Amino acid sequence: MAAIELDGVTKRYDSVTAIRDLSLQVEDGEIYGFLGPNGSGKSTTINILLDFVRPTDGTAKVFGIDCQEDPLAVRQRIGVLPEGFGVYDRLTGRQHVQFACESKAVDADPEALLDRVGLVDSANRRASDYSKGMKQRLILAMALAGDPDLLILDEPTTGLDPNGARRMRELIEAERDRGATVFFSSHILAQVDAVCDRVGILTNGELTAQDSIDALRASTDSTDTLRITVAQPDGRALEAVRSLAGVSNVSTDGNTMLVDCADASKTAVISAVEEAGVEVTDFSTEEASLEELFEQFTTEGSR
Amino acid sequence: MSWQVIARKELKDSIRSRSLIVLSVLFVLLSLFITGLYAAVPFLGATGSEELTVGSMISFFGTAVMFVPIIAVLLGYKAIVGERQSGSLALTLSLPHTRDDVVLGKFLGRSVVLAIPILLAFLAGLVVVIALFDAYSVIDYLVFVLAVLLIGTAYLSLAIGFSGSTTSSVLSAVGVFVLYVLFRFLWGPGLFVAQSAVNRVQTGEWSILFEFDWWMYPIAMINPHYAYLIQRESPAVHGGRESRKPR
Repeated sequence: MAAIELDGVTKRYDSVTAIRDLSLQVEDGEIYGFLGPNGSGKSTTINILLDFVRPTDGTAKVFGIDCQEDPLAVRQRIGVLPEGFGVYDRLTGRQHVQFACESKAVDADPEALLDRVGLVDSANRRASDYSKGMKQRLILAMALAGDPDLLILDEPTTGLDPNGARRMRELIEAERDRGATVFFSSHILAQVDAVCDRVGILTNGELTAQDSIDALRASTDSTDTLRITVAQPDGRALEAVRSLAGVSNVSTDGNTMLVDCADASKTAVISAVEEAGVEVTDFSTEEASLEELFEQFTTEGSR
Repeated sequence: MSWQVIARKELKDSIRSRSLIVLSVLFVLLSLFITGLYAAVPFLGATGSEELTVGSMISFFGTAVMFVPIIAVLLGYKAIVGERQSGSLALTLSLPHTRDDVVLGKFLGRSVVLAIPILLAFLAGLVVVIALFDAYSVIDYLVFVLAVLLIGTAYLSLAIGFSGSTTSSVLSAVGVFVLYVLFRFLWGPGLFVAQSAVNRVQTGEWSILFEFDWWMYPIAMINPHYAYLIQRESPAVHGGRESRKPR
């Protein structure tokens, strides 16, 4: 059974359509990255799953339960890091986690949950005194209470330092290994390709791409940069490479040739250099960054 | 039950609030002051009788008790809209709670928070009553305390209602304030105007009567202040000796 199933979901406000005919499926046990620029409809989608927002059209289901018909049953099975959350000013970190356990009627150890997010030393402090990153980790500890089958995290890496983002990534992977499904949204992509099994890219309320990162990379005409270190750069070799199909740009930097080319042309480039009688001492590939990929999808979608 | 979890959380949240502690201390001091003052200067009770009775003291207390609604309003007007603005409501509702559970839990939790300073104050007052008064009825006193708690929770529920139906705490505050002014200052004159108009229709002439028809009472009772006053002036409490002019 799919962890999340959206079928033709549309949300129209008076003059704006936040989501248009969105259909997607998140499989049980996968980590799904829900990507898109700010304002593309990611949070609206999540709010529909939580029944904070009612769709104009279409249905949303979590583990086969309709999110609008039985929101409590849905929330019983999920852990959530909501968008724009706040903490309860006068409760301590521990009391927050206790509240989450009591709310879900689960018998979990608040101490252990706080330990998982590295807050055990601050457990008895008021959460309002926590830093932004600590608050976020606290909410995450609450979300983990009762080992939910699905984690829905809205922008979990925003506001975290690199160390915090790494911990978040490890935690997401640990949850997946436990058997949970993780659905998270992000507009920052640096962390995403390392952790996601699949991504969906939302642009102006429409799903413009959905696949694994590798497949997305292969499907675009984005170019990789091949760095070839040679004994002695040579004009003939440069010409030979330039004339190859799939090569867009060639330049040199000392003993290094920089060749922008499609993924499929890499082998041909290397052999062309060698055939021109130039010794290749080393080569490496710089893949197109996810940001470039992302840009390509989101600008295409908004056309 | 989900609302119990919310109520418990509300209680924990408020019990650590400095304003609640300050409030409790103020209530206790005020209660001691008023009770002591009444015992020391009996004519302030203005009942005409020489003896110190709990009944006449209660009527003396009555005016001071009118600030209980204000405390209740302060406790309630941001209860839900405040969480909405800070974002913690999203946290609450992402857990398995219905909106009804949140409203009910907040109301019950904060009712307890309101009751704590009131009960402490009256407990302190009771000590003075027992020490200084010759004849007193604990039952009368407790009924009076209950009435005070009721008017407090009535206003608390109004305030929480407003705080749950607006998106801004300012609007919520304005809403309850308007209602307070209506109930406190305009309801009485309104009732007299209505009764006078009815009398005009029935008798053909304007007359000033301070007697209400039976059907006016349920209307009057919509107002928490009147419900409170009618209770307070009922013979059960102090033999119906009071004038019935509402405050």
